[in-house]
Amino acid sequence: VNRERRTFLKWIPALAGMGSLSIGALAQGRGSPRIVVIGGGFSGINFARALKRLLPAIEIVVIERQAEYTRCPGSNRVIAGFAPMASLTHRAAPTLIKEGIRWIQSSIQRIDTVQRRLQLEHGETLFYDRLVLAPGIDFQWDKVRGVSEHQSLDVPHAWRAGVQTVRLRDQIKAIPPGGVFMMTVPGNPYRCPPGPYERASLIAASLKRNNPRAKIIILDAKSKFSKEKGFKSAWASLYPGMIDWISLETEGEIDHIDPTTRTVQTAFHRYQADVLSVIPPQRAGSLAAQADLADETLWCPVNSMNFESTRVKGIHVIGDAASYGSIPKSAFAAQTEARACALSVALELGGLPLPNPRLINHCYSLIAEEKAISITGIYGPKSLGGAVETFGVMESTPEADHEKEYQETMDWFDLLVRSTFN
Amino acid sequence: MHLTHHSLLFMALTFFLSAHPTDAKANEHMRAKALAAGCKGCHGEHGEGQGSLPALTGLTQDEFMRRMEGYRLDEQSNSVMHRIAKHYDHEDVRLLAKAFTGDSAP
Repeated sequence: VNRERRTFLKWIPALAGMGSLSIGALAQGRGSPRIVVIGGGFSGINFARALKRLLPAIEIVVIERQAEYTRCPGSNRVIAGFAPMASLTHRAAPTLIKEGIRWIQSSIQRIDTVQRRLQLEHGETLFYDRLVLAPGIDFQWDKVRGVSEHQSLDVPHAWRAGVQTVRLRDQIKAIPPGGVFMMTVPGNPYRCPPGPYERASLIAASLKRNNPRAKIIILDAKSKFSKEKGFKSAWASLYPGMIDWISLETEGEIDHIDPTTRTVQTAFHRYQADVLSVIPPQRAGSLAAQADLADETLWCPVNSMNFESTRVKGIHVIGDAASYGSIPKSAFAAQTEARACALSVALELGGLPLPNPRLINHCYSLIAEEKAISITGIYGPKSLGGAVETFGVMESTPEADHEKEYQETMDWFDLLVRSTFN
Repeated sequence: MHLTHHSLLFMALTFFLSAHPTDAKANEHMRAKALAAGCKGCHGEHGEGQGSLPALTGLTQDEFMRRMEGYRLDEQSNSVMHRIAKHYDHEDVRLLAKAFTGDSAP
């Protein structure tokens, strides 16, 4: 670690007073820049820790509204009854504080992008030189006809882990013999593209054991989906006749949903279930919209070299809220974005030119309790400063050794969680 | 305060210029660092690996390059490393080998 710091620092001519420090810290009469990160999830925490490793002397503040973070990755195992809910909860604060990063638990009242100033819920005003926004996702309830946010616990999405996760788990446990679990899945882009299909697989694994005549219906707003070949092959061999995936082409769009009777009316048919999970269409976390960082897609366009918003100077957006080419919205992508963004911010603060980032998203999905499939994609600008391109995306084949992929999943996942929160 | 600040700046600048006279060398180091950042999600912050995910450290530069070139040029296999390596050219592989095996670990 020390060697790494020395090696990086020797290339940085000066950490303060150069580059793009204009108002923030210097206006406050302080010598060194202050970097503020909003959001204590996978991207926010990884960014703060990566930047601190690169520039130990710099002031970094992480602001997060919750004391504990409940992660979505791994929550499908909880919903299917294969892991305890408590395993999803982490406290990043002790780790950050130990590493010399300031932690503030607060909501944000206002972002003043002109004065580079934050108004915090608990009263403090904080100036920043660079702001890194990692607000995650929010839901487009106005796009779901028949279900309000208030009613969502009756048809839990469990797409932000917490009470929704527990509710869905308990509902699935109580499905009557031969009953139906149904979920509606939104169009792209949304958090964790293969997530709904992993969820269906694990619930099928659980039902096969406890309720073998039960059925699973997936009403999809898409005509194809992530790792489709792998999932479909697994469903046919492991859960024959149990999972029915219904595409947009087959059923058309959802006309409306009745959460009290758990009924979904599509363009052609009416579907009724014992347990209904409605996963709404998504958008960048509301803080992004408030700061005018989201465009008409409702996600935040960013510069390919440093994740700086193309709409507001001095603010970087990482994680699910950002549109970085077609990199999926996943926790793994969030950490690779965070590391790339941290390097760029460090170099910019030192007045050095930026190299081309090249990001890798590698993602496993469980198809059974101890079997997995994977997908790998490479993303980044091909020419210096050019648009983000997809170098390639490849999946494991149905013939691959899925038990071996499960072993890799466990190590990969452990590393991701540990290097973020511990 | 400003005097101190500028003195530090000057010292840092002098150190930088004396230690590393060429921009090219700094640029190469940063390119290697940017590429290496992509590997850390699976191989760990310092390339230390984890269980079935192998460590990248402890190899010689030649051995690192030999393995990566093997993945890169093999069109038949579909292991995770085969999927990744084909999107890196020989120069990228050289930079990665330097980053993970040299004295300038990423």
